[in-house]
Amino acid sequence: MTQDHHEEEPHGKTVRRWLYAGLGAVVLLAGGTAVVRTGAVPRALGLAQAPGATQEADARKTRVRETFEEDIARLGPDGVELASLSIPTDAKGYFAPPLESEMPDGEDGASIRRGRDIFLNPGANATDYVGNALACANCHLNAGRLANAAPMWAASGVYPKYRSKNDQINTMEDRITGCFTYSMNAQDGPTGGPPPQGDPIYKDVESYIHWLATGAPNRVDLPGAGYPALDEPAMAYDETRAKATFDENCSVCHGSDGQGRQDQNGRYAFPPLWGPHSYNGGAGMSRVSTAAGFIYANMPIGKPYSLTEQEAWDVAGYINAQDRPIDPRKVTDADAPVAPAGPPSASGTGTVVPAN
Amino acid sequence: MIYRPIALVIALVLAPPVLAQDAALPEWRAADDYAAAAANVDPALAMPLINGDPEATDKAWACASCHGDAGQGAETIPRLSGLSVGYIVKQLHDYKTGVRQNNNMQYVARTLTDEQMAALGAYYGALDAPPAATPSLGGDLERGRMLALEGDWNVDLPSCFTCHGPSGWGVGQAFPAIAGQNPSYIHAQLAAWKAGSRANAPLGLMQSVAAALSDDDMRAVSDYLASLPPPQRLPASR
Repeated sequence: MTQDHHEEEPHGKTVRRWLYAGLGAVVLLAGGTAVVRTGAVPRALGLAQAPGATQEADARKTRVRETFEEDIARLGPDGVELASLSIPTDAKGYFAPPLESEMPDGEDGASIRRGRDIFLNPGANATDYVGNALACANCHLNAGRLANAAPMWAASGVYPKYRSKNDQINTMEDRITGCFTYSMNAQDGPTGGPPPQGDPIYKDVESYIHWLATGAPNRVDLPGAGYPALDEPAMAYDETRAKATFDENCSVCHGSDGQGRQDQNGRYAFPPLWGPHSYNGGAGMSRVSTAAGFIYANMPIGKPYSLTEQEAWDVAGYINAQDRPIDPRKVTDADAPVAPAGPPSASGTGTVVPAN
Repeated sequence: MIYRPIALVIALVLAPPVLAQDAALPEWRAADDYAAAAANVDPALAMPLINGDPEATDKAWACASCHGDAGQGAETIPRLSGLSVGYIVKQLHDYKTGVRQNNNMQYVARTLTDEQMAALGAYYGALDAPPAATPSLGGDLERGRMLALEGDWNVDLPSCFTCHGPSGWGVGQAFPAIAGQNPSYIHAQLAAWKAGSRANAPLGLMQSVAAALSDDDMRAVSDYLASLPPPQRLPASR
């Protein structure tokens, strides 16, 4: 008995040990699998695939726009209360403009699409009124959607509005006229001027701009409007320093001569910053403070806020110290399209003619 | 105590190559200069390199043995046909100096002279191979189209075509053609930019771009670009 017992006990222990080992293996395997499934280990080790920042932001943008569209479709006493309607915002807290997929069909949609095409490529789609190589979307980035790059959704609800630039109430059409006149330098275009009042070009561009503001509050100064206003620069303008900053950060795209770059079909990828194919001395971008804010928040493209404020001021000063077509309000002689070198304010000797 | 002098010697031996590499980090302007220099070089100089020296027994390192007879490449080997001359030459210089890393290319570039590199750039830049790439990574083409044409500004990502041109056919010497490029090559390069193993872009632009892309995005945009026509010689410039 005793002997048998002694013999059996190690045998039983072995079986039990194998059993426990097997169970342990199963538990470890299951546990390990579960841990791997959660992705906690690579995350902890910093080895994880980037969490697809692009898709997350897109998903949010799509979600807020879809919610908004669903809500406004059900506004009313039996549906969604007006007070519960929220403003669609993106992950950074700026207004989230509608997605391309939200563009309506029919005549409205057709006008919006024509306006978008003019906005992206006025040289091709509003040819008669463009005298240079620029497009609206060169300064209003991401087709007029990008916060702190003068987004159109922030401008839409602001006009009509008084402006000291021309001492009158300006409508959105007036503003677009100004864009053609100054930023697109219409004086050197086929017709020598901006589209005439009431032209379908205005209707289409306004359709697009107004559509971009779908869901934005009216007559409210929205965050991300315009370009950021920078503090006065600490250092005075110095051409040598400014040129060095330009050469280092800007010339790879815009060229050392600032004339932009074209692809082999002759289409501009990077816009000319001065010279005969750039904006004229009356454009908003010819104001150094405006250009500095744009550059600070948006340039080099894809690397926003990578320059210091001082560098942005320097580059803006450098660009706007170069030759460019003259402010049409400052010429009576239409045959003098290019201003002499120097700051725009020092150029031109003709009579000042009010815009528009 | 004896280790200190040894460490010092090691440090002194290692320092010059490290410093030299920093000094050799090419400015983007190099691509313009290379293109200008290549205009004065006879592309025929490149022929023995491309097809292999008829005297040599080992022709494995002839350019065409990997990049194809028409410079069309395959899989992770890039299409060279029609890329900007300055871009091609700069990449060869970067391989030679180790600024860009790839075992095979560093091996073949190590003995190339400036003139040979210029001739290779001139030769491949002037080629006009028919389209050869097709989407092969299972990427979402619609997502790829969006990234290529519009970018994703939620994450400060400009579109590919902002810099690589409205057709993706390249702009100037610094921004190469990407339309019609082999998708596995584009994908591998985006992954390398993101991982930091490739870092020879002007202003670190590609590092910023790739950092924002998930692997799905990379496959999407690689496949979309492969669905486009590569740069074509215009009839007038033939």
